[in-house]
Amino acid sequence: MSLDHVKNLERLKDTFTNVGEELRKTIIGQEEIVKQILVAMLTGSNALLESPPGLGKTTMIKSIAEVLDLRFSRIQHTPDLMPSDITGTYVIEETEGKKRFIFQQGPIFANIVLADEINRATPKTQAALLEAMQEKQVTVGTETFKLEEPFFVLATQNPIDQEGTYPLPEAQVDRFLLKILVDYPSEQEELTIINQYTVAEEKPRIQKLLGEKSILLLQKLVRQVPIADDIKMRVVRIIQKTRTTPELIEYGASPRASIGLILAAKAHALIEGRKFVSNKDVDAMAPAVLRHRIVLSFAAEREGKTPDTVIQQLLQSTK
Amino acid sequence: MTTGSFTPKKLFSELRWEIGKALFLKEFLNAAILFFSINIILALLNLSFIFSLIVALVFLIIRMFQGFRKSTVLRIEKGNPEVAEILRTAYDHQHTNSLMVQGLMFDLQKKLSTVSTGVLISPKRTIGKLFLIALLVFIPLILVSVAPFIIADNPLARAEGPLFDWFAGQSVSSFSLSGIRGVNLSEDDIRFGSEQLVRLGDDELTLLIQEGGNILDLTQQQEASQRTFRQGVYSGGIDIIDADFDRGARVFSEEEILLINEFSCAARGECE
Repeated sequence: MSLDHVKNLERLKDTFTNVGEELRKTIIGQEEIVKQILVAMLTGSNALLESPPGLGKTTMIKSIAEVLDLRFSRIQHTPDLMPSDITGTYVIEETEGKKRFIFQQGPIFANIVLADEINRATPKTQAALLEAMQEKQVTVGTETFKLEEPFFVLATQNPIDQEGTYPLPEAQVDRFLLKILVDYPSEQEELTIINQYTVAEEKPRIQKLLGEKSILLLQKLVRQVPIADDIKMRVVRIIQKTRTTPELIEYGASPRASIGLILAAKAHALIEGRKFVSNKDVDAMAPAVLRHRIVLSFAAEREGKTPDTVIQQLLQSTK
Repeated sequence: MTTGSFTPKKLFSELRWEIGKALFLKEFLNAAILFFSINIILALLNLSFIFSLIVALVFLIIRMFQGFRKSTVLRIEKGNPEVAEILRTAYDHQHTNSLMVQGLMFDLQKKLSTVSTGVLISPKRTIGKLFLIALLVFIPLILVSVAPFIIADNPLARAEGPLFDWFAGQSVSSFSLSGIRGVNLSEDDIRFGSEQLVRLGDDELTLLIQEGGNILDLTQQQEASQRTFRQGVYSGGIDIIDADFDRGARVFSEEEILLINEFSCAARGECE
């Protein structure tokens, strides 16, 4: 390690600023959402995006893959989607008169996989995807194939249309580091979107800024971001409170949530150009990390509370 | 740590040194206030300032010891809340060797150059303490100058000598010298019964004029109420009586002055 290496860290913030600027060419607004997707990528985790249709999730994720120079694939989930449609399957190949089985890779073999409307697939297909997410490998028949790193699954689900869906069980939702809520754009943002997509004939060119190796290096750096003991303790207290506040929360978060919150806070700090985790990072990432990991009590729901308001309450009480 | 000119340990040693300096300044001022406060009481009791010096030194040592036992990080954080998180993180990871921790230390070093440990000392409080010290120094001097004319048998008047002499850098033994610095006995001025001598208060001072007439020994004194004009104390000695000028007390008669002059010239060996 030399002083030059240390000084190079100063350029990290510029890198993320440039990524943001490139993404703004195609994505209007949604800066916080983009940041949270980057957090998921830097921690080597997966994210669940929930939004009504037509908010540009696919465009956003495609653009991110383009800027980061990563292989992108999209799986549109339907009730008749089979696990082999995701993982791939053995097909017969004939060469020089000889027939043999070769493995045909499915769309899961990419760096960024957009699992569109994941809750429309059957639980069996969801399970195949979730195994890939968790283990970063797929098993077909008797053979196991390692997925190439970096690997992220960004799954989306539609909160409005629930008919013909198979909601993800809590245990499986827990495997997503973040649940990101994509909201409607503001008036001004919507006007800009209209102008951009109804006038320009060509799609804006996006510059590739990072590559697979850079992402892997950044993932290592995220884990090195130091965090003070008292901030770690605060994270533990927050998670403990989700289990010890029955008047608000019926089912609390698991230790996986503690790990996730600390990792997410570290990645957030790095994106913000800090070399240490601040309480601000914890506050910024806690809703996305916890909102799908807690089940509100009846009393809290009756009072009109949402997971986000309860999480804010917990954050305030642990300051 | 292996790299560069900065290491976490060195950084925290520097911090401790800076805090030490700030702590010393703060506690030194507190000790000075204590010293001067006790000194006033000791002066009233006509005791040596050594006692107050010892008390102040013990206080300073204890406070410094207690101060160093408090956490360095907490002290800096208190003065600089904006660096609290980075500082605490750096402190918790001072034994960790990684690129990010190195980067953190680099940042911390830059930040600490802008936030001084001087903020640990409140400028307002420091000025207040200095003002209090100045007050404690001057109050006795003012009282000593004024009190004898206002209050009869003022205890401070008795303390006048040690206090004044100590501030003037003189020994306690030169007690009675202080009041008559302005007296000129070398020439033909009125030496006895003059205004300067009258201002000495209620005491009778005995001036012993040595051979040659210009070296004075003013160590002897007695209550003016017992005063008598002692003729014949001679040779080489001369008696003076306080005339209590301001209170309209007795002034030397012409006869007495002539007699004194006679003694005086005899002492100098100039009489015809």
